[in-house]
Amino acid sequence: MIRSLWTAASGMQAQTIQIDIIANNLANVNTSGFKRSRADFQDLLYESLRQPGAASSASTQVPTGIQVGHGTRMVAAQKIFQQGDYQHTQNELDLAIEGEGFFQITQPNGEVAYTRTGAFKLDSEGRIVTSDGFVMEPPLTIPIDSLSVSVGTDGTVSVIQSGQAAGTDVGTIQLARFVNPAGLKSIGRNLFMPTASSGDATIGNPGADSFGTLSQGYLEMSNVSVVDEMVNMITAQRAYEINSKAIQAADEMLQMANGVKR
Amino acid sequence: MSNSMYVAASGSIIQEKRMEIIANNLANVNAVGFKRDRCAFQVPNPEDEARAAETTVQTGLLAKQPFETYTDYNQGPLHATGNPLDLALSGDGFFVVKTPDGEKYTRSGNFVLDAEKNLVTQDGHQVVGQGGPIVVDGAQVTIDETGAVIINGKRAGALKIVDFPKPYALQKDGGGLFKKADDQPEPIAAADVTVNQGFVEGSNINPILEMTEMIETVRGYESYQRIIQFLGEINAKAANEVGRIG
Repeated sequence: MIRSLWTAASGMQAQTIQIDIIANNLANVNTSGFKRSRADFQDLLYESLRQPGAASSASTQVPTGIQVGHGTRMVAAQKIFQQGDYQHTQNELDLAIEGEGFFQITQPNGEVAYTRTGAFKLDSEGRIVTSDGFVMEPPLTIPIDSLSVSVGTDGTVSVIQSGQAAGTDVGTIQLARFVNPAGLKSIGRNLFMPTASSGDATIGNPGADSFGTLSQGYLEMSNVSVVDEMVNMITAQRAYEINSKAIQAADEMLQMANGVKR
Repeated sequence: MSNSMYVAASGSIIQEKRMEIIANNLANVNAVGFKRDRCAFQVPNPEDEARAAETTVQTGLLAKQPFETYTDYNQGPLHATGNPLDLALSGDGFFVVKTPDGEKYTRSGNFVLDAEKNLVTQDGHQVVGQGGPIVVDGAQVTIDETGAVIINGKRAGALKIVDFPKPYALQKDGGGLFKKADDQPEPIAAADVTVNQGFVEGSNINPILEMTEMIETVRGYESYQRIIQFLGEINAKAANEVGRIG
């Protein structure tokens, strides 16, 4: 009896985590470059009260046996790296990657993190930085007297300076790629860090292999689908409810057992 | 003391076990590829009963557990996810995964890649292909209905999908895995199954059926408790009233 209480409790806990993940996805529905997560569940260990195949007499065997499970557990909150939609912003430092690549960002502690968010800005020294002021790797500096910046699909950045007709190259944006992007670790601020499961980053120019090409003036939007998340939320809430019913039923049965002795 | 009280007690123990199984089904209502468990009750053979009655009735009834569990392998609903490494089987069959204690079988096709680009389960067990592990090295992965893996337009292997003679004699092993006992028949190639890329198979639990069964279980348990109470009252009468003088 106690077991059904704990089994149903594991179901409620699992649904709580699922709602947490859905809430985070929905909170980031307008975060550019955000990748949604999905909770994956698995059943827990089974206790075999009676082994199938055990002898039930000298000449016969138990055909199926009795197995009682212990509930459910969350096994992964998998990041889904599906492409988000593109939004045309006309901002010359908004860059979207059409492909698998990631921008490289140097964090203040010197470590390189990776992001899909291409909403870049300039800092006081003219360097291309994220909204948090973290510098893009390789660092590119836009001269102060530039009139316009153009970024090619292959990552070449060129500027037109005042008094000059021809553009000047200032460098090339390089992208990173991972074997298994789902293995990346989110660290907030739209940044990801590599792990043993994602493998090390491969660096390359946009357009090569499957790094993807750059589109200037576009932003990749969040890949959260509100309708999907709402449906997930309904199923999670109802699953939570139904597990609470199982706890109530187990509780009622315990109460009856206690009522036998008066 | 009457034997009926022990019969009622063993009946309530069975209802307790049944409740545990229902609770486990409900806890796994969102687990990918989960197959629900059901209880089957046996009517004891009167001859066996008579033989048991000659020996030790109480312990005999309790230990006998005239019920067993079996797994309902019916198809669960397919949910579209759009994730290229989510695979769902429609029809009878299992994916084969390599675990430290031998090959096991699963219907949970929400696979991922490990650091060596092998297709693995969420627990990191390798998915077995027809010629070793499935290595996904490339941007475009297509897995067709037969389980052939096509990477960047080139065939790069095929998933091993097996089936067993029915009724299945598999045991659940947790983590969405099934295992077969040593003396059970070897797996055969699955004939009537298709692989659906970008889908996961949901749990095959029907909440309405589980709720109905739960009501039945609680009420069945209540009936047994009433019988025990009633028998207790009879015993009290026998002890206190029948034997009273004057």
